[in-house]
Amino acid sequence: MSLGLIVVLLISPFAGFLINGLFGKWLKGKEKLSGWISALAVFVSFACSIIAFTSVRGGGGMSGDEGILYEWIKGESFAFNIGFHVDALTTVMLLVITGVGFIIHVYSIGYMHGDSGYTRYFAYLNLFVFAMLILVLGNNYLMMFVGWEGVGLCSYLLIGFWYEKQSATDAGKKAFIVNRIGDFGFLLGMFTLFAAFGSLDFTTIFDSADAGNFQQIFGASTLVIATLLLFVGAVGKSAQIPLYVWLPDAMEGPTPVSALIHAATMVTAGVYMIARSAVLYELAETGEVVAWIGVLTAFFAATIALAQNDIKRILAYSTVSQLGYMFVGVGVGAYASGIFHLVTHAFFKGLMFLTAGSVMHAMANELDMRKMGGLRAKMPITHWTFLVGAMAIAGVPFLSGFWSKDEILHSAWAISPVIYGIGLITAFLTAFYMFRLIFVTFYGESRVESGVASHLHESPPVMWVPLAILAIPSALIGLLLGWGGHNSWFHHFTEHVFPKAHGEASGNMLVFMGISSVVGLAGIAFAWIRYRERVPAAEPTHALHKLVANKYYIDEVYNAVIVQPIKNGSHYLLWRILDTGIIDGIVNGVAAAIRLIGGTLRRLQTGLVQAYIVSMVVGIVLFLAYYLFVR
Amino acid sequence: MPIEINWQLLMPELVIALTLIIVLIFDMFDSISKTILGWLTIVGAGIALWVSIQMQQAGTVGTQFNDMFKVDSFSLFFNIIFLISTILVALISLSYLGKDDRKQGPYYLLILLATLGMMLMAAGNELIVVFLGLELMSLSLYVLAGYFRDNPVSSEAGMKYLLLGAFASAFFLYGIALIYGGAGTTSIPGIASNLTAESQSPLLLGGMFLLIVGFGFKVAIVPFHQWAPDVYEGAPTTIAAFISAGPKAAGFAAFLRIFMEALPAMQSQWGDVIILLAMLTMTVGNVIAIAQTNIKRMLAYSSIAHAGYVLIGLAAANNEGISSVMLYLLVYCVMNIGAFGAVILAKTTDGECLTISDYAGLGFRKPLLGLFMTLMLLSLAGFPPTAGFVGKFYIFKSAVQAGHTWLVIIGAINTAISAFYYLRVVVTMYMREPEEELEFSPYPSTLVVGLILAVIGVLFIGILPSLLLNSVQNSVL
Repeated sequence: MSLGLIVVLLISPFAGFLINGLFGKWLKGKEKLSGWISALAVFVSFACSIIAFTSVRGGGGMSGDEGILYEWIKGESFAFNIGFHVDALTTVMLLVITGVGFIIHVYSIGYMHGDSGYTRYFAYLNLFVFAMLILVLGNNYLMMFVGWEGVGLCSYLLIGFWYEKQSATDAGKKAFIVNRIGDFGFLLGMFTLFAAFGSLDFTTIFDSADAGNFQQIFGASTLVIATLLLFVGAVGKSAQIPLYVWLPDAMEGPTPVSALIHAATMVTAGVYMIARSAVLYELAETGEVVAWIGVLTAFFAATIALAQNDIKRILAYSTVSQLGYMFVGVGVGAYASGIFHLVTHAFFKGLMFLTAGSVMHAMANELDMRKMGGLRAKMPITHWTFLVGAMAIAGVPFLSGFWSKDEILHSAWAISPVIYGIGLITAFLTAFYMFRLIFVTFYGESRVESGVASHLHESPPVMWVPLAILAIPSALIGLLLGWGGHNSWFHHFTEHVFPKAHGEASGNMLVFMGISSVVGLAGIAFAWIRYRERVPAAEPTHALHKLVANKYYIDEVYNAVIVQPIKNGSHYLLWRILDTGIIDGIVNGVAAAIRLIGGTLRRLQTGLVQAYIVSMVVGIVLFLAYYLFVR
Repeated sequence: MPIEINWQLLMPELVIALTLIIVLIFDMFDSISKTILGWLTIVGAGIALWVSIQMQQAGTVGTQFNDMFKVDSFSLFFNIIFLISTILVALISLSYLGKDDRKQGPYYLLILLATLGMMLMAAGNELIVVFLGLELMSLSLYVLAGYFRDNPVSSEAGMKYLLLGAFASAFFLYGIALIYGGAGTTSIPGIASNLTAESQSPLLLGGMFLLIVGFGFKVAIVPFHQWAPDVYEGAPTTIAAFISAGPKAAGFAAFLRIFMEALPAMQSQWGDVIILLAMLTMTVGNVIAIAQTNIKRMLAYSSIAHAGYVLIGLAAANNEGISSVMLYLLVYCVMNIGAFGAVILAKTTDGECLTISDYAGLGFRKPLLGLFMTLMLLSLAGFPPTAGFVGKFYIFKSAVQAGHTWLVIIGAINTAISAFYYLRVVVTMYMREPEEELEFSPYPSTLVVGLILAVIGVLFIGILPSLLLNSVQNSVL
């Protein structure tokens, strides 16, 4: 594998961004061209990723000095390089980003048809892929951070894509601000690592950490602090408790964006970061914190999803919940399993978002499933592909989610039966809410309004072909890569990347598989009993239902506890008293003083040449005086 | 005594001299479109640039005319800075002057003469040659500043610049005379060899101070800066860009050469003064820039502040310092001309947008203009991944190495202050609603090309600094 290949892989989407961004005006009338250029740009990256993947499979790869493209800046005791780290983990991420990314680009060509911001959309989407590639390709935390901020920016731009809509801009801002909290943690973590290791390069840090050869800037807990701060970043980016609130709102963006950024790739950056830093998390033994946050988020988000009626919101909470599973995986030391779930989830969740987009496309942007029902007859492909995705996430045996989720639960058992238990309950809830969605939307009597019903149609090929393509890996990839559990192909492929997992293989694998299958199928059956012919009530029926339907009032709590106090504090305390009273007082005082002095000084800048000459001479005299008398 | 002339060493200067003769001849024919003169200037400067780069890469070294003229990688690197500035300024001038301006012959002629003067300054190995170069450059600039002679503001700028500049030149010449009195020679290596730590006479000291005053005026160091805002505001915008770039670099080139080669033995005397001037210049430039409402005046004060940053590198007085100053000056020329170019691009049917509030909402209505302006301002403010960041980084680093940590802290505080007024323009462009609808003229293509070159330069140096850096580090004195 050569550096050139990686450079092409990285630059291609950026070129697409430039073409769409700079020449958007000329592409305005030819929106197909604009879309295909940007899809092609990602396809080139995908092709390069496949080459990189085969090379890594053959024992190739890139780390340390060989991956350095050039030195960016250099100081006495440090140097920042632009370089790449390519190993099994990287190539897995590359394939997911560019593969799923390409399919979603193609789908977007149809989905965004006729939108006035067509070229802008594809420019942002390409820029996102570029930033995400920097994030996973970088061989140091600085590049990871650059990508991390880059994807955050693109996410903000794309959530608020329809900026005429107040709710969209609000959601964009919310995502940005909540992510800021996480990013601040990430930044502090980076500073800590730099202070401790004097470098941000992965190889240097991991080798020194292994050898215990670093500055104990916080004593024995240096690594604990560093890893936990980095995890704060992951909590923000990957929408975990308590920073998950931005992700459901992020559904204001175009649906393919939800599929690509807010399900398949960007939100998994936190999981990738922890897997990449596995050495540090092992040494610091902070994995358990990660696992607990993960499992609580998984459960919590799943309960909220039970009572939602908006298709995309259910999928959003489901994403939060599944990300929780991934954190359980990397938290309990089963890094390969966590990443495996990331891969399978990218396929089936990406698929489900795209099918949701297909439904929206047919239903004139309606998202409330109480106004749907019986769609299966009119939209057979959408129905079948969604069903595949839902079965995969519900853990129906032999579909992809079954394998990856089961591995995580199995590994969790060895660390803590409680985590396992909560995870298992979550699995039941997952199957239930997903099939509730299916039955209410696609089965039963049609409740579609008559005006919409006449237009109800299957989506055009440019949209349904991507669905069909995504459905195949959603169904089979688990079987292909995950057969054999901890001895699967995927584990062998990634075994050199991760430290030896400590939480594996206790108890009979088949028993765990059996339990998981039963739980998943029970969830489906329960949904069948309850929602086969019933529609969710318009209003919540009892207190618990109301609580869950209102998302535990977390947004309201945050609003009351954090947003309003800050707002009031800044309005009354900071603005009225501190700013207007004290600071403005000082500023106005200073300004008045400056005006007073300025009135005098202004005579120096009158434009009068004589005055300027006088001031020069005064300057010379002062300098000479300083030299002669002061020194 | 017959002089053996090595013509090859003089190639860049000869190309420029030849170009200006050709421009002069073409200007005599009224039947030829005058825009051709601008293109001739660009081609001539382009050839000279290519020659300089070749010579720089080959490591050409040599002296000429009895050691009065010295070609080395240092002077060649500065030639590259001057010629890039000249090309960019000529590019943004093409549309600024327009096809109908009948008297633009002298304009390009003077630009070329000034460029030749700068090249002499960088290559002068003799105080008299430096002075000749300085005068050749300055006299051309005085005329250029007053180029719009029907416009009283422009005439005033030219006149003011002339009077003050003459005053500063007198100081400079007086300084040379005193140094001659103290050292017995005006040759730079000669001064260095005659000057030992013991043999410092008050004459030398006085001469040195007067040289600082002379250079201080040319590169606009506080307290010798007051001409700058008035001249920048009154002069044609292209000329403001020109004055703020090449001549400043030329002033620093001669400054570096004289102080590092002729007067290193007196570093204990001038080192302190430079530090003091650096602090004063940065702070005054940045603080006053905050109060400006006219974008040209704001850029004038910003360019004063940038001279202060350069002084930090000069104060470090080590190889690292010299190379960082050279890098910074190149970066500064590109981004400053780019910023002025963006100002020219913001042309309404009533003339240029000069008040900062005129830029409200431009970011969305004129995305290309917004992009250019934003990038240049971010680079001036020193944000990564632009060239401005890399330039500042190495300047600060050299100062830390020289033990001037406090100076760096003051520099960093100043950078933060400067971010305020640079970003204010960006905020105005993207987040304010325009108060009145302004009618904008269409973009002239040559100006856009010039700006694209500046953008490429700023991003290229910012993202890939190492390529340039090696070349700079090999060019120190």
